[in-house]
Amino acid sequence: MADTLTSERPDPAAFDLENAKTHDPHATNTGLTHNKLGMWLFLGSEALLFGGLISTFLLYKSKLVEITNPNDAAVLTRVTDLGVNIYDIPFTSVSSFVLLMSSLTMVLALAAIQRDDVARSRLWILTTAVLGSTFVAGQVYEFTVFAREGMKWDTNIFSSAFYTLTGFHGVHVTIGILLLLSLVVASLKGGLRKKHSETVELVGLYWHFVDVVWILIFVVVYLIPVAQADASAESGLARTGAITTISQIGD
Amino acid sequence: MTTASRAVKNGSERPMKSDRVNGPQPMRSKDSTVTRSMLAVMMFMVVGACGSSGRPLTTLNPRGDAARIIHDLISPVFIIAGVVFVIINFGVLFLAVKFRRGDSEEWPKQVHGNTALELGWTIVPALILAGVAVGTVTTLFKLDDTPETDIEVTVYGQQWWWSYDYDLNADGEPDFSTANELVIPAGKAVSLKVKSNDVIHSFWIPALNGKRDAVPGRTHPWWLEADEPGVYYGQCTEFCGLSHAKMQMRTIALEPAEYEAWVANQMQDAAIPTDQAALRGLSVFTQQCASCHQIEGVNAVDCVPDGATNGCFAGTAPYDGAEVVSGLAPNLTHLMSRSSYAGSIFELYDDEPSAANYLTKEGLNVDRAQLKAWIRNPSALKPMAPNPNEFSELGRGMPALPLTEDQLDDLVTYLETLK
Amino acid sequence: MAIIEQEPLALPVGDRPTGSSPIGVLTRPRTTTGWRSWVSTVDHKRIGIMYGIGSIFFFLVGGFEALLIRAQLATPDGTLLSADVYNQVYTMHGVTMVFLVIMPMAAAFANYLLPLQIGARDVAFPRLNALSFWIWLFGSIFFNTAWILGGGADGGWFNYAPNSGVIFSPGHGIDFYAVGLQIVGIASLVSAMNLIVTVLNMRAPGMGLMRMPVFTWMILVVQFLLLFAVPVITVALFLLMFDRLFGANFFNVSEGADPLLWQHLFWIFGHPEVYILILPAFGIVSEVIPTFSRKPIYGYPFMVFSGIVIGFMGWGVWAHHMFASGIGPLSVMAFSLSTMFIAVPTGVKILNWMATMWGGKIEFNTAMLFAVGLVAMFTIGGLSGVTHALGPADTQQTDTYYIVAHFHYVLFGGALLGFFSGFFFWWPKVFGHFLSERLGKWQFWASLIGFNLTFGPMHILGLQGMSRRIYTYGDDQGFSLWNLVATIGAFIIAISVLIFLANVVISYRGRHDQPAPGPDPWDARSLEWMVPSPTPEHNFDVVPVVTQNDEYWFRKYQIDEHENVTRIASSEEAAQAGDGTGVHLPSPSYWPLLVALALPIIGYAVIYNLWLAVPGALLLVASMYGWAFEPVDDPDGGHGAGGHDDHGGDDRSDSHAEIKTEETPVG
Repeated sequence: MADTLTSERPDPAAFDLENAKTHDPHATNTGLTHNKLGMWLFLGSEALLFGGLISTFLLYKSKLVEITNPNDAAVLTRVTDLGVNIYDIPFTSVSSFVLLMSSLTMVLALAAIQRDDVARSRLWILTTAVLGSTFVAGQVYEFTVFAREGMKWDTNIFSSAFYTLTGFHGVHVTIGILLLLSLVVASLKGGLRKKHSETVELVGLYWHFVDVVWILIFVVVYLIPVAQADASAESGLARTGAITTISQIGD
Repeated sequence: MTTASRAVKNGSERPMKSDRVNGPQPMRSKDSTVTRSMLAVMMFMVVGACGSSGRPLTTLNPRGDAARIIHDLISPVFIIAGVVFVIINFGVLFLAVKFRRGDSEEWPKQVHGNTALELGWTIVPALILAGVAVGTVTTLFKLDDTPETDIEVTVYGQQWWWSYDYDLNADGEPDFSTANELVIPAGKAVSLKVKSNDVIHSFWIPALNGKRDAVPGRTHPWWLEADEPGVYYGQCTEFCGLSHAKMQMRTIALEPAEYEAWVANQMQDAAIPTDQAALRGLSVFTQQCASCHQIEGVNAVDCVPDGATNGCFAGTAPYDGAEVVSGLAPNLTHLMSRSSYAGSIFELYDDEPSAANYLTKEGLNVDRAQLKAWIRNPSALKPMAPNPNEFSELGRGMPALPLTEDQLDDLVTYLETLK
Repeated sequence: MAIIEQEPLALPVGDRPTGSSPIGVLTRPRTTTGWRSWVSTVDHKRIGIMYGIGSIFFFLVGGFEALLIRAQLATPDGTLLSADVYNQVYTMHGVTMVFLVIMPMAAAFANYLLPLQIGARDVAFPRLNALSFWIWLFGSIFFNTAWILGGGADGGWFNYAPNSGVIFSPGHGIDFYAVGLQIVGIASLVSAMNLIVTVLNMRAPGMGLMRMPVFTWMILVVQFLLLFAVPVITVALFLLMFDRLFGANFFNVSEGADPLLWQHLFWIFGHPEVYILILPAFGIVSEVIPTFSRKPIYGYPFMVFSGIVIGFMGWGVWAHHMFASGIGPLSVMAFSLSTMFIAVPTGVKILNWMATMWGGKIEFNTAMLFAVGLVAMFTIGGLSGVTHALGPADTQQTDTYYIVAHFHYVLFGGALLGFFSGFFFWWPKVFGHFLSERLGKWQFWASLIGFNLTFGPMHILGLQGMSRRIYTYGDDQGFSLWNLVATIGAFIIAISVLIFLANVVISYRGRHDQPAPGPDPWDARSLEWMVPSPTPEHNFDVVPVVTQNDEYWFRKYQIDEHENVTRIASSEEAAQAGDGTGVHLPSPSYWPLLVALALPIIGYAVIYNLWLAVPGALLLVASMYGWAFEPVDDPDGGHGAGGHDDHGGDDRSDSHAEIKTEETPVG
């Protein structure tokens, strides 16, 4: 670019024309393509979306054990410490591991397409989709178990928050699987080559984001326990004897 | 007329050179007209704002400690804001006049800024605000600190009226319950716990304190203090549905001795009347009204608390034939000791309420016609369902009951015995 | 600078059209005139114009709702509207003005001007741009169909829970609110991504970020605010929708829910939202005031940084809407302090505008009148805002007409006056003729007087205890006089709006009777004034190289060592002729409209009958695939778009949009 200011240049319009002839039309000011920058921005907004859902969940998880006013016994009879007793942490851990591995295969898929290894890339993308589907299947199975044990969507504030948060995540994973399968189809038709590796990279970015969100959810929802009511016998919940165990739940 | 306006009148739409030659002259005289009229309007408004007679809800005339604390904080801030307003707005007018282009084709000096000045007018307002912040924080904690008092009232908001459970012996159990009007002793602070039974409402007696929201599922501490005996008006100030506008309340401050007498009266059950018409009215009450309304000594025994109750207390043995499910409507035990009803939108008596005769109601006559009109058809007077015909499914508040005029007469006669 | 039209879902079709026909491919539409060209346009200028028309239409709707409110409240115990209808009218008025008027009006200016101000030919994702507009339009219509489908939303524009729940608001009105705003929110989100990528990636050579016009900067900040705020209200609306339509318990107090959750989620969106509403108007007057003062904006870096600071600080003040909600004194203190200090960057802007005028040579045409009007009126709104920042004082002020006065001063006196300034300023650029100055001045004064008459007394009403959202008041409360005055003022505002509409029509009709504005009727500073009026379809013949702020101005003037300004070229000489050829433009497409159409169908499904979601989803998915497989009409294989050179003979296939040498009719 010129160092001379416009008003010191003899003919700015001619300068514009000269510059236009040599200017690379693909250049972007940031160096990132539009698509990549756009994807990062989109993921930024998604971070706020999940932030809102996680905050809601945290509030209602903690509300379960805050209600100590004996006059609210009507509420207490429907409040349980389901959150802790109902989880099957080993199962969910395996599920989480599967999803984590799918991020690995996604990275391998990108590496493959970047060296124009179309077949290998297609295989890894397909594997990612399969692993993702396994995760989703695991979630679905888990939810059916919970529902059978009495924690349904509309059971209480904790259950609504739980299913909303994990459900939104599951929908995001599913959309990711659809994206991956679309890439597989494109690849089968011969349309996915090294020069399209950015497309694979962007789908990968989305997939990794969904994975990272899951790690956060797994920790916040499953691993960090609800404060045990029976661990603090002085708490109002225990005092009023209004805790019901899983076997008593269900309308 | 100047050349400029002539050019405009010719219909030429584009700002022509002749405009630049003469400038938009009329601005000059308009400027001072604008200035003068702005000043006049402001004076009128300031004067108009200050008066509080006939303005029962004004915030500008604090009559209690809490309201005064707020007023003392905001008054200097209003003045600072007023000064800034004058500086900026008159500054703008000044700039508009002084730096008008006129006929000039010149370009002025292309000044880009002055960092020192910019930093200055960033830092100075920040410092002013910091000063205001100090005052704000100290006021905030002063206001939040409820004064020591043994009068504790739980205030319940529900669509579309307020009720008050008094706990005067600090045992955590309410001693009596009243509605619409919160009676307090003058000169003494009263501790409030503000709650809601359905949606969010807001409890506000402007002369005595700011407002505090009544949020279902939560209890919010607040307090009131009135310097002098008097009637202080309030308004629900959080949108709560159809009759939000019609959900009002009053705080009555009485001389301490009168307040004690009032309390003693409230603690008593209602007497069973002897007059025949009143007895017929009592019978109407137990058949038609007791499922929602309570009268201590009639039907307030062993209430079962449910989500929408306003608190209920064990009383004396029930009168034969009473229902015992009540609690969803105002407690009427001492209805006639109040001055208003139906969310404080109707006067019980035919004259202005005042603290002086609040306890005795001397010289006041009950406005029977208004009371009958209310009971006859509440939805006609206060919107409680989108369509009054759909009241049974969608309505809240008081339904119209199938009463004959005679029954209505007798009922009101009975209610008049509830002093 | 590339106009590569590849969405994340897009599957490139290769270097040349393949023999096999991909699923659902239609050739790109080719019409350039008539309604079909508008419906399939991806041109940012046309999209901007459509946003402008849409927002003005809804301004009339919201304004009519306002007149109903004022007519009802003119006298005590008014009987024009029942309580139920009143609640719907005031709620719809608020939602309409915020989401269907101010936000799209800003989008109109942003869409039209942003690419021009940074020297680009279009935005980064032209079809997504069209998508945003159609989603917004269909969402707005969807929201308003509530009126004929059982009644509008009626819980206030922020619909606090639990009153917004299905127990207390059993009709469908609030369902339309929850679903309608989600749809409209998607439009904002997509648009935000688009404009941020555009500004960050597509600036002309030499245009560093600190050489962009202040308007562009304000829009950029707004897009970041949208990007992060819209997801939060999306969460809130989903929770509300789940409660109302699917039995969830998020706001079910009897199950232990906390109504304050709604308030927090709403206001974490709601406060950045108000900066979203005002910053574009701030940007507009930052262009208008320097132009008509004949001076550059005073303190450009401070103007930019104060906007950025407002954007950041705006996230830390939300609970000042909740001072009376029982959040506790520590929270009140924290938010009081942060709210007080956010007045500082705003004050800096006011002073900078005044300093720009100082020492200038000011011409008071209509655009300048409105801009200066903003400076004066917004200050009033800002000052009342500072008084609310004090938590204890706010417990007297909140939920009264004092607050109504505040936000109307900042939104009408601020945002709307700013937009009218922008209309008068940029009208010649967009349409090729001026709006009448005479009618404009009548409009300005009527509007200023009417507006102050309407909202000035509301300060008094609020301090004298008039609550918000009441459908009537008694004659013994002392509210009668000022309510009557306010109603009279409202009708004067209505007259000013009629004057504006008349101006639009009369100026259009008389456009041949006035001299053409040329590229630069105001002797202005930024790049959009360097192209002919109305803007040619391809924007710039040649993308200009930018070496400093106010690049175009410096092609017309120079400043000598004595700081005198001398002219070195006329506006026309320094401007471009508009006759560039061989520029590849993004091709039009119908798919954005079809994708957008699917959303209200799914919306009705969610409210009424989930089976309707099947055709809605089918339309959505099919349209998305159609979009993805749509051929990129460029024989260079989709990467040559934006070439500045004349490509010569091989461009002449008739399936791509070729630039016309005569002006494309825009009206």
